[in-house]
Amino acid sequence: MRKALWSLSGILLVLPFAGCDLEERVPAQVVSITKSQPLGAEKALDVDIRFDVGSLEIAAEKGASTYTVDLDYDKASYQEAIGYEESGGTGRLTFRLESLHKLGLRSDRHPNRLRLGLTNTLPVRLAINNGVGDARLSLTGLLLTDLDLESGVGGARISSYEPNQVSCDRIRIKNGVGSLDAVGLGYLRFSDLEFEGGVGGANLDFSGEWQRDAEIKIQVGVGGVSVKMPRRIGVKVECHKNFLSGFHLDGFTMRDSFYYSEGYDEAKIRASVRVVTGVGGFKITWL
Amino acid sequence: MRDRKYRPSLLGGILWTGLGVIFLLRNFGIGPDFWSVAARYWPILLILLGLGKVIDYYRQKEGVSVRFGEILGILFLVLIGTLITKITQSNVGRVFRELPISIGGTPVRPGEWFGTSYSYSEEKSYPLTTPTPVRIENSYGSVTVMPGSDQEVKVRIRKMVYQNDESRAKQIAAEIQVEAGPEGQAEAASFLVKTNRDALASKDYRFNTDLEVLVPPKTQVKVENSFGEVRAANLEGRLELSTTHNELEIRDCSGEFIASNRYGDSRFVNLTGNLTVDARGRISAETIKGNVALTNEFNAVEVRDVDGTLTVSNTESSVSVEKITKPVVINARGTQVTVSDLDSSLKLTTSHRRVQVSDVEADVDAEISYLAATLKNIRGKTTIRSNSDRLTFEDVGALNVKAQGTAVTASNVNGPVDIETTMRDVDLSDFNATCKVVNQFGDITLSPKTLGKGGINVKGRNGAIELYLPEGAAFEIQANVRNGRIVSDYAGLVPAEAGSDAGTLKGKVKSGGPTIVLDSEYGNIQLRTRGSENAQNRSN
Repeated sequence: MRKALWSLSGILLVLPFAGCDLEERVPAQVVSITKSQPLGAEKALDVDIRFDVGSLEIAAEKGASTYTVDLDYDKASYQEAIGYEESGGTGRLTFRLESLHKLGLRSDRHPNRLRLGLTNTLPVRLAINNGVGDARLSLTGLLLTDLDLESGVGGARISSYEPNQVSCDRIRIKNGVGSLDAVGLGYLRFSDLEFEGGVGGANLDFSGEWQRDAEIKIQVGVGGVSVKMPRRIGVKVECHKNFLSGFHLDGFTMRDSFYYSEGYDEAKIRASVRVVTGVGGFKITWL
Repeated sequence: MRDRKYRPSLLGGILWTGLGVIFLLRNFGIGPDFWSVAARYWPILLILLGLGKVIDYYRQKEGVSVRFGEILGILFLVLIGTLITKITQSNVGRVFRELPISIGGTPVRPGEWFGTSYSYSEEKSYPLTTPTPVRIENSYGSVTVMPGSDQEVKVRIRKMVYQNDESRAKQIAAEIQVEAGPEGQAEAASFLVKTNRDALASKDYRFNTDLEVLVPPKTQVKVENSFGEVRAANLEGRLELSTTHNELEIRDCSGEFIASNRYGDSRFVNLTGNLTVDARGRISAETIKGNVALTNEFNAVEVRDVDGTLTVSNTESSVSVEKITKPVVINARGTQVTVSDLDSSLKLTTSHRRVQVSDVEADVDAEISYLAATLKNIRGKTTIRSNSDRLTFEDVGALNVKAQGTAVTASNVNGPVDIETTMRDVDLSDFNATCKVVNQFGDITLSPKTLGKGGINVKGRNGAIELYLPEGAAFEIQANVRNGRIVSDYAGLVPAEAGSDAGTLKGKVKSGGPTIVLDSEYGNIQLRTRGSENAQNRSN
């Protein structure tokens, strides 16, 4: 045990110097491409993104385009594929940036970066699979009807600061390794939200203008999940916990094996939260 | 026991292997930065070590104990781990990343060096017969624009060729050329400076081109760059500069300034003229005589010393504004906002992060939600539309708050007060004018310095109302509670019980004072004299 601890400490002290090599590197071939699609006869938009490595940004955009892609990527190591087709009144955008799996050391001075602007005039179904890197979903202004985010390694941030003008039937977020921050989820007008935590903490801020009742399912992985709720929402919590997890509910009372927030019975809008805890804590605080 | 002591450690082996795999993958560009992960998740090591001890305990109950050395080791690990967390949260990493290393006389930042490179410089002059706008195009290299002669455009190019063979590098450098000359027709004509990079695109050369362009001191300049810095200094005229991934800087210029930067930082210093910026990197603007309009996403905006109006749009970062002479408008969602020293008004829309406003000479109008805000030394009227905030006011003029789910604390209010909120408490002290407060599902505590002519009007639904009046105050009171009690410190004012759990109070103390109306649905009403708050707090 002691030996392992000393070994660990030694590693931690030596590692800062390990990355300071100045050996020849394979130069990155960073290129920028911009692509957009003029708005046509579409009545809805399906977006499917697979982004293996890099930084991803998605935001709503005004203007005459269905989508706008601004992509910087290392052409020597990755291959991009952007596809768009329209059928039955629905536009389908697929985006892939996949590694060519070349061997060799390369500079990471310019990481891949995708900014995807989506029209704020069409209802959008959004499916994102983000491999390694940060993802930032700025959903303010989007007409979001469905969101499916699968985040691999790296942090993710989801935000919305204005009410979604359409109902969002389902939100599914699966977090891998890294933290996840979601702000303004209440603005999204969702009816079902499913969050599956991986390794890393998550902050789920449900602030916003709630307009209907919602079901929320939270599966805590390794690390804590912190939920912030507006005071006017009545919250019922069903909790399945184990001996490795902590649980903190501020202002709740227990009835019939459920936890109810103060004023739940009088609340006009209610959220039913089902929590399955892993290694780490879960807490709800009030906004 | 002796055998166990010398048994090889499985945990150590796993850790060594795991770390090796992580660093190897990182060298192939796979996986997150080790230090950012280590800084966040190092306590997992403690959990693993602890779990190891628990497993040991169940496997061999008698042989497991905590040794002094282990405690020291764990403390050491905690110390190192915390240190890494602090370092990664500070700017130390950034300082090291930005630290230039001199290799062969060339400053190179860590990570920018791609192997052997050779640089070649050239200088060319192009005569200008008439004043002509200058347009500069470049990519993968910097552009610096400086004042030169009135009759010419001078271009200095530094070609950095990434090539192991020096003679081949020299051949490639010879192919890289500056292309300069007039473009366009008649009035729209401009003088274009660019390189022939596009013509060389098919040859797969790796090179950077840094351009230094000397233009007539009074001229219009447009720069379009990508993957390179852009700098302009000491020029007069309209400057329109853009780049994508590197720094952009304009300093000591006069005219009109339009800048865009997709991802790099932008800095503007000592400018005379209007400034318009659209950038996603950090923006810093300092000492500007003119109107400033800044649009930004996800990065910090700092503005200081502007003699003109200021408009800032930002998302999810921070905005810091100081010393502005004319009206300021800030639209910043999910952004931390700090504003101080404004000579004119402030209009603010923001949410979800902290807001600090101080020393504003005119009105403040804010629409805010889900945040904590502190406003100090506001000379004009403060109008707030709020949702689920914590608001603190100190030394402000007239105060108008329309809110839901917001807590309000105010002291030294030098003007009429009008507050509506729900579900959180209202605490006002040292105000001196008309006061109207409506609150549902929250307590109301008022402690006026002097009573204003318009009196006090308070309406509560579910919550206590406490009113601490100045000693010697003259007033007329009407208090009514339908489900609660009324308590009075004034001997001459005795509440009448209107039922088993209700009360009314009507009366007058001295003459000529304003009217106080207190109305509560559920909750007690207390009428106290100032100074009794402390005693009340002690008894509570």
